[in-house]
Amino acid sequence: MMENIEVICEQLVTSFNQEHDDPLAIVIDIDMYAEEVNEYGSILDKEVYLKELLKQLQEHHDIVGKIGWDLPEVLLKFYVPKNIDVRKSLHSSDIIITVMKCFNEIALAGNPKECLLTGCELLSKLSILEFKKIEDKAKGTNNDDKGGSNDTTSRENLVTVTEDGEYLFHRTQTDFFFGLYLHVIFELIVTTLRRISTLYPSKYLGMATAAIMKCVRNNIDYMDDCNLILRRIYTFCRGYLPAEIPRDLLESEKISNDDLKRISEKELDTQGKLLQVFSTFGIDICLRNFNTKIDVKFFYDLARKAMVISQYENNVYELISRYYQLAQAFDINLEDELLKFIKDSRKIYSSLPKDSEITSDEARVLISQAVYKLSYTYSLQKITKQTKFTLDQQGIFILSGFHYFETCKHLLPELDIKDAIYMYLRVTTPTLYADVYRNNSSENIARYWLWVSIINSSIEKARSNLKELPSYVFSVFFEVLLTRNLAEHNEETRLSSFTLLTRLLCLAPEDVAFDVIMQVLEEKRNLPAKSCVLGIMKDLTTRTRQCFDDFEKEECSIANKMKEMNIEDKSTTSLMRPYLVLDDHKMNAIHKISLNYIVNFNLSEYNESALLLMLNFIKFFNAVNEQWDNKLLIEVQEKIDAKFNEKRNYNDKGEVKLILEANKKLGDYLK
Amino acid sequence: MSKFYELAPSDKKGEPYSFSQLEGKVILIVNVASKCGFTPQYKELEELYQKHKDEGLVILGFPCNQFGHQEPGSDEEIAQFCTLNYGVTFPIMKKIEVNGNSVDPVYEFLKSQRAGILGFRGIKWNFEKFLVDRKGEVYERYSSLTKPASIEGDIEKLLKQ
Repeated sequence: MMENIEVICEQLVTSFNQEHDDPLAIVIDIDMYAEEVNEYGSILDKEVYLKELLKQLQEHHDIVGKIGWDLPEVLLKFYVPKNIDVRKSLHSSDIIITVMKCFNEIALAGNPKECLLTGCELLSKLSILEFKKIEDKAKGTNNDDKGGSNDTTSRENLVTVTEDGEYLFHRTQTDFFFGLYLHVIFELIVTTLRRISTLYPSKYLGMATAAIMKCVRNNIDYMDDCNLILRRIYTFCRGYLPAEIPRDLLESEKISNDDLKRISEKELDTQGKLLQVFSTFGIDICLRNFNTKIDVKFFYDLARKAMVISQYENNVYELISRYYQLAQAFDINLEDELLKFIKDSRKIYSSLPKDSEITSDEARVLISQAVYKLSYTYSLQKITKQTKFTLDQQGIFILSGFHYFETCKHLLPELDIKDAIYMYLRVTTPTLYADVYRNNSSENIARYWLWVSIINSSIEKARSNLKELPSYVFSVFFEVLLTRNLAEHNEETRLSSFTLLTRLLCLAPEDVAFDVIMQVLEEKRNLPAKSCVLGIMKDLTTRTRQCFDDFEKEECSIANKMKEMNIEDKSTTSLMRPYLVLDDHKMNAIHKISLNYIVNFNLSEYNESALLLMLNFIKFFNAVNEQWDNKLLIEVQEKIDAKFNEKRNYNDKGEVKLILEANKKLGDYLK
Repeated sequence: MSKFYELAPSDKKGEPYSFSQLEGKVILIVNVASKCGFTPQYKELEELYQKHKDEGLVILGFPCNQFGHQEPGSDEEIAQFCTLNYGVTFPIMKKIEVNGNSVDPVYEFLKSQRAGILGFRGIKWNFEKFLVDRKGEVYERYSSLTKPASIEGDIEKLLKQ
């Protein structure tokens, strides 16, 4: 049973009035009453108690000065689901508003240094998982009590469809309370930072930014809406005002004005650098799970199609745009920074040996493995050697790509394809060793730069630049891009990346392109990857391009002469040639792999991917049948026919039916 | 002679507006936007202009769409907006960029002369202000938060010089 709320309030007032000299006693009283009211009181009781506490805080600034730092934790305990209906607006809850006002009093009248420390501590240990646990627990209780029918905060109930058919995602209980905590703690930090009278404000700014960074790192992977924190960091950076030199120091004779000026200038510089680092960090970490789709936008722009952007994405873009503007306001020269990023990336990979310098297959395997790890090692070394403030590299990289979204122009219109590949490897490979390096947005921007490098330079130039890249580096790069694309959930991104993969192979030296395809087909790896490269190979062998170098031209010319003499070589006619010319060696290699797959195909253990790969093999052969050796095709056709006609009962599966149809088409051609 | 007078940005019609015609004047330069929280500052700017234009005050508004895309209209639309909503009579120039690679020479000059908060040169938001004295020297730079009326003291001081 709880004491009457009026009695509790009277006792609170007495405590403030009579225990002036014993602040600790007042804190204990506030804490004790708060706990009792919060546990046993009605919503109205809680409102009454908090309003009385607010009144006392407003009337006793001297006491707030002594105990303010100790109150936030007590007050935050009122921000729990049982006290607040998340479906209603913030202003409709007196508890929300009164706690905010109490925080404001503390921020304005509390000891600023102590209150800042409290704010930083609260932020450092803030965990969205704790809110999730509460939400899950509440759902469990609801389900027990009401069969879950009244659970209005579940994710399903937080989605509505507008008249235009757009899905609107409302805040979840977890996001709501996490956002509320963030708001009051950030406000406390921002206000107290402004009040601290010091000659060294960078020390406190550094403390605040470190706490925020820790909070974001701890929580970003569990947040549904990155806007929550993205907006907070932006507002913090944009609104930060440096503290002026304390008046007492200006009047003091202990320190000269020249020294004060020197220290102050150095401090301004340090604070500026801190904000530059912090704002670029914000864009990096907050967008780590977000698909900026800049590569897709560029791909769509090339196709003159408009990219569909959801309301949520639009909100994030708006905020990235603010960060982009902030970078400029903070004198960050994105072009210079991108050039540094390119130079750094080049440095990571440029010392790798040329193909001709690798003497054995074993050495090649080892050096390929090293390519995967180089960027990760480089990052670690950079951290250990770091002695100066450096901008967040991933944040800068993201902004370099966002420049296109903002201005429809490329920050660097001309980019060597090798550099684009180095940047891609640099951004993506460290993820294989530490999840902390994973960043969807950076990966996105890396793909965007790949697009820019191949679209904005001539085909001859891109091909010649690619020739300079060691083949094993290209192979690792292709492998990473392919694997990442197969794991991609977004269909638009998958489509644009698939096109990118094809274009890259079109530009790569023919033997390198064929080798990477064979590598995928030969390795025991996931079947969708094999299907994917078969699709690409089909394009490479059926689409034609102009001959580039003298050797190719001569080859085409000979083919034309042979054609005139009725000795036609099916693979090369006129000055156009396929991106991948099928010679006997290539045909035999592919034939061997396909036959191996068909023979070992176990119908009783098949799955959809396995059937799709079979179908893709037949589709490939149908597409290239005119260039292929008929004897080899007959062998393939007969083996498939035998394999699938053995068990006709598999006809009920769509894929089997398609395989039989495609194989029949191949059979008809061979007849 | 100050380099300021060598500048010649484009007016709203795209014609060169030579700053040499501003010699001996006190000039307040503002990057403006029509859809900004600070847009009502137009009213105070116009009041300042009306009060001191005969003493030699010139106010120049440079529309800029770089901050929150809050100035999306054409030069004509912007000028119309200023006249209709705030009765602006001081010159509104052609839309420019104040930050980045395509920064207008006027802002390149102004920013080089006076840094903002924390020593940053970049413009932070709409309605930042630069006050230029009668000799073409940048006297002061004010943030968006500084209301035009609170600059009046500085303007009067420069007008008296």
